[in-house]
Amino acid sequence: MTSARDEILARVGKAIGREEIDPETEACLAKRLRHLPDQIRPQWGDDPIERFISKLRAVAATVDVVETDADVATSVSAFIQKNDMPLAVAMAPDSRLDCFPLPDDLKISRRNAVADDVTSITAAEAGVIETGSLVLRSGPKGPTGMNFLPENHIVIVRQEQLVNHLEDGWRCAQETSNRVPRTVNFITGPSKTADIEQTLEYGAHGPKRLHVILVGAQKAPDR
Amino acid sequence: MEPISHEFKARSRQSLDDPVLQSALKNLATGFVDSRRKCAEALPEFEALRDLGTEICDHALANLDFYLRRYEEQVTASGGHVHWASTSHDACRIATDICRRANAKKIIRGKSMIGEEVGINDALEEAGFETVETDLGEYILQLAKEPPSHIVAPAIHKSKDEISDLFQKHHAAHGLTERQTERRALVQEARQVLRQAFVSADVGITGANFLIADTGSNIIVTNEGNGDLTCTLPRVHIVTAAIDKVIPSVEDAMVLLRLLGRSATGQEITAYTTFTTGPKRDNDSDGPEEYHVILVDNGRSTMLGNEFREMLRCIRCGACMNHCPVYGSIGGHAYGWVYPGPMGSVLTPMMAGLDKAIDLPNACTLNGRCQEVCPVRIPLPKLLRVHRTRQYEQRIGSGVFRFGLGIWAFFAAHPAVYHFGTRVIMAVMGALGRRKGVFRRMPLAGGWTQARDLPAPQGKTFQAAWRERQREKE
Repeated sequence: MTSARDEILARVGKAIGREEIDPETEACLAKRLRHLPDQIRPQWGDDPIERFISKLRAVAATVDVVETDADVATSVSAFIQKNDMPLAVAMAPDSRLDCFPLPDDLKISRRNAVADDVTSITAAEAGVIETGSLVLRSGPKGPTGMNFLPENHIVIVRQEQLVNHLEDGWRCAQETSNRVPRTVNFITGPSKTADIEQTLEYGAHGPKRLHVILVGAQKAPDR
Repeated sequence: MEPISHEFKARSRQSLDDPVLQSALKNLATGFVDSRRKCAEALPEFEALRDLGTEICDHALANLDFYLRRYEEQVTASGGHVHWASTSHDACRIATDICRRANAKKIIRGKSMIGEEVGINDALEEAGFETVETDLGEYILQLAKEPPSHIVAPAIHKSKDEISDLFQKHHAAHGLTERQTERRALVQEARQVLRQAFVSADVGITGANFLIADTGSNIIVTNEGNGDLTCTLPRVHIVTAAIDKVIPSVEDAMVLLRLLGRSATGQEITAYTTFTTGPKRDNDSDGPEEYHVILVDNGRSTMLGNEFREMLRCIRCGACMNHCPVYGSIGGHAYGWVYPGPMGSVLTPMMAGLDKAIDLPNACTLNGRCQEVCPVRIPLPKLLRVHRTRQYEQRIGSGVFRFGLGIWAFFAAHPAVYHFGTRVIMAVMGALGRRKGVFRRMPLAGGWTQARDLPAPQGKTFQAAWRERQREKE
């Protein structure tokens, strides 16, 4: 008895007119995997940082641009105060976040988020200028639950982490060991749904608010 | 679900008389259609990307044997398991077995069309598992026990009032007895109820927008984030996907992703685009312990070898139905199966049988809008005509229709008779209609004149008028 796998592959082979792939074709296809021949990527003329910020704001994320690491605390405080949130956050156990001083009155838990956490803070691998997306990857330092469970998600990204296109964002999410992480998230705005009468509501299952802190930009554009 | 496409005419009439549905369809025509157009216009590279996307899909299909094998290797290398299902039945059996082996009780689902196609929920529930849909639209339909009526916005036919009633009835069990009437409150209540399902589920089942051969990854695209919680929190993650979802590389995926959001909802990118590869790694603090992929054929390998191969390029964006005047008048349920609109009228006869879906290929004006907006340029009108031809060849359909078609064919094949006949008819109709200028009723065209008047011809045929004009020019 042949397996379903062999049957399906045999039918596919028959449909495309070959029983086996000759070595030459196989080498060609393997080569294509490394290099897509024709590259078409969106281009833009506007300032890259301004574009990144405006793309995020267009999808209802809030963005603060701060000059130094020390300024992050102010942005976090203001965000928490403005939205009347409890003074407690779950912060990813990621050493890249150690350099940011946070407000003294804030209770900080360095762990993965649980279902009733209100706010999380994570570090992005990259910010994609093309779409305003934040790239986050799973791992011991960045549990995926942090990006989806809390109602408020604060993401810190440095200006030098901004890259042009989605493809660049994917590359930034790869570990040096050449192993693809379990999860790579491209996050572009808070969670939303239009499933009730085609009208947009935020906070369907994931965060209601996405707050992005862009660190290191020289000039802070007007909000 | 069992296809009920043979009820197309009766269900269409019901849909035309459904005020809730009609108002939803009106919104659709402005909402999705406008945003898609704006989004496409804002990207000068859009047309070139459509060409490239078409090429990528064609290339992937022409080498599907290679990419399926490579994909399987890579999933296995990342610690996952690939299962192959020739039919819907096989796919359901495999999913049920995985859930049994995992000692699962509760299963959550992220919206996927292939799940609807194979009927995975019914199979799992029959096997005694509790399943919960987590996409808000699908969840509403699960409570209402209805199939989706749009592939992107499944509950588009439901009004807020109907949803309020459903939630009040079903959420009492969760201690939520108050009837919510605000959209925000309804979304919040669903969030609260479904959050419990997320944290208590043993297995999460999602679909895949794409599978990547090079890395063994699957991509899911959502706005709600339900798909992400579904593939992160439970201890087992099952991906159900059709074999035509496999594309070569991440670079190829990015091209198709740029087309998908824009064509579907007019978004450059959805809130969440997620690449998932295998189960959790050793040091990860969350993610599933098991990762399974069920690759479903269900007739696709047959389509790959015949004139319907181009249909397998479909990336399920729904643009064809958003732009279809027939879909826009009757909505998705009239089509009688999981795939509505132009893409459904091509797919349903392939999967359910041409004789079970006689009306679908004919419920089309051949205006070509679907093909015009299809991101991967599927010639949908051409494929619908292939179905029509096959129906005629296989003598499927009503005798009256074939008889009428035979008469038409005779005239079309005998131009002299045709010209004589039309000259006589035009002259008679021109004389009869001269006074009023229109006909209120016309024999054999009662359906047509029911909603509008037929303008009376001027007495000459078009060909005769044309010849006269040409002579005058000379």
